[in-house]
Amino acid sequence: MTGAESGPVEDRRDSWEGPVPVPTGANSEFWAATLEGELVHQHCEECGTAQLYPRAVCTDCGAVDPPFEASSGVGEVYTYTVCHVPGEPGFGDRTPYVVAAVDLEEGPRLLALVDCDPDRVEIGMALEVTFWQVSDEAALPVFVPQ
Amino acid sequence: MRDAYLVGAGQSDYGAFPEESYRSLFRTAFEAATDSVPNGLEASDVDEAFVGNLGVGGRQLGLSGPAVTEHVGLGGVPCTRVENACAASGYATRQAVQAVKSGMADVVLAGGFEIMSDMSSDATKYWLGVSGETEWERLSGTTFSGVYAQMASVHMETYGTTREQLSRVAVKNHSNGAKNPHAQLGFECSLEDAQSAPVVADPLNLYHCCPTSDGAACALIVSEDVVDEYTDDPIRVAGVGAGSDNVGLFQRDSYTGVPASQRAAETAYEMAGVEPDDLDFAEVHDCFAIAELLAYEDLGFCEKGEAGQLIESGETEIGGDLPVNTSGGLKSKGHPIGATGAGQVVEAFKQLSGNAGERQVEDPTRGLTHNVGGSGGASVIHIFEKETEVSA
Ligand SMILES: [Zn+2]
Repeated sequence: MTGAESGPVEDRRDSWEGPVPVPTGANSEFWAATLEGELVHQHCEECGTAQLYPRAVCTDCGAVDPPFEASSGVGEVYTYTVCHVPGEPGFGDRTPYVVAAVDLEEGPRLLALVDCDPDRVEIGMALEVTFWQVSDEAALPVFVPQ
Repeated sequence: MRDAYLVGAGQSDYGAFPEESYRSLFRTAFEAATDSVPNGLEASDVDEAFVGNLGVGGRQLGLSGPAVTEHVGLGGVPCTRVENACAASGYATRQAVQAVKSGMADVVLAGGFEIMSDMSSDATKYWLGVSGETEWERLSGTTFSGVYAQMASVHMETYGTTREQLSRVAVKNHSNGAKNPHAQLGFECSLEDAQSAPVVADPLNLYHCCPTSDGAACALIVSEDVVDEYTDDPIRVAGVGAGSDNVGLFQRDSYTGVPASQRAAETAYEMAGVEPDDLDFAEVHDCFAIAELLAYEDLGFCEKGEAGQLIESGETEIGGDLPVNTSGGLKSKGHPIGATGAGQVVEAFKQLSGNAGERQVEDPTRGLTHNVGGSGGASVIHIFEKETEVSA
């Protein structure tokens, strides 16, 4: 990791009632970085594949433990939905809210909440990452319009 | 390899049945299946069983296969529970075909069941979400409807598919389901009803989503060596294909098709030696309206991007060139997860044996069933074909 910040971290530990990440295995480094405002992804040294979510091997060449790199935190909407019926408890008072598949500048695609007016979202919209710290161990990447 | 034949199939009603258990529903389906075999079939004839079940609610997760087969008199027979989310009993059917073709069994039961209607809406959402990339999907706030809605958004953006075309899938399937006494939502709906329903996960509204259901279904697959004992009008399993993929939609390159279904279709058509044009009807996995449109393209019923025009043309209605979801589909007949794939085989059997009542397709020879797990992490296709003589 480079230590460069991808986006600001807001402490929501007291108010968050939604799901909380459980850092384990290959995910541990990803979630640890979120506490520092860094969005990281794996970048294979053998073949150059950039991937999320974190895995034990490169999805393209099978190289073991591809190392993490920081992302700029900038991406665009590949697709989205506006949820009028909420998912997990904790999202209920947010409806209607936007969930998007975000293509990061560096290549990997990430599924995330987008904090914006649902009428404003469209495919191709430029986004940047922020973080909501929801536990002592992790902050959720949440995107906002750039 | 030996040929495999479909000699009987039956199902329970689909719906919400607080008075029934998973065992009583399975018994209803098993008896309907054995009763449908033209020359009769006894429980004691069955050599092996494969039973599809997701285990929604966490009830009877262990040994749920033997738990239902012993209840219908198959105690002692080898039984395997097959879990592949919504494609569980499509895969159970494939296992039955493999057991017969391999020569290890002559008469095999392929069934499935699910109980879903007795849970809170939060619990139901939780259990519908267990077949995706659960950790990352839940953290983003998406629902299962939201996952398919993301596919719809890309298809609409890329090909100009419209909300009205999605609604036409609901109108057609309800029109068919209204003719199916087993259907959970067996009523017709107008295009206006389907257009004005409340939004669930934009662009999908309530009429673009299938219900949650209780139900069970069973099919009986036998070998070419014994098929003559059971029927004079054999229906051959002409083609089988299956495929899997990343379980998380966001792990796939394209959202405008389901690669697992494309692979399954290629394999099944090749084995059967047929093309989409040779089909007389199809039961496809319409858990959401967009899923039926994607199936049109993935299974080669139309060119990529033209599914919206195909539903508009009316050619997939009963009476059209290729009727799709004559049973009402998941949308109107219902979607008891573990039973759905076997339930599609029930419709294929009814159509090919001329017992589909008001929704009968005129003199069909060949039909296809298409069953998808999750958002496309698993897919399985069967092609059934009526024969006049049993091939040696
Ligand atoms: Zn690699």
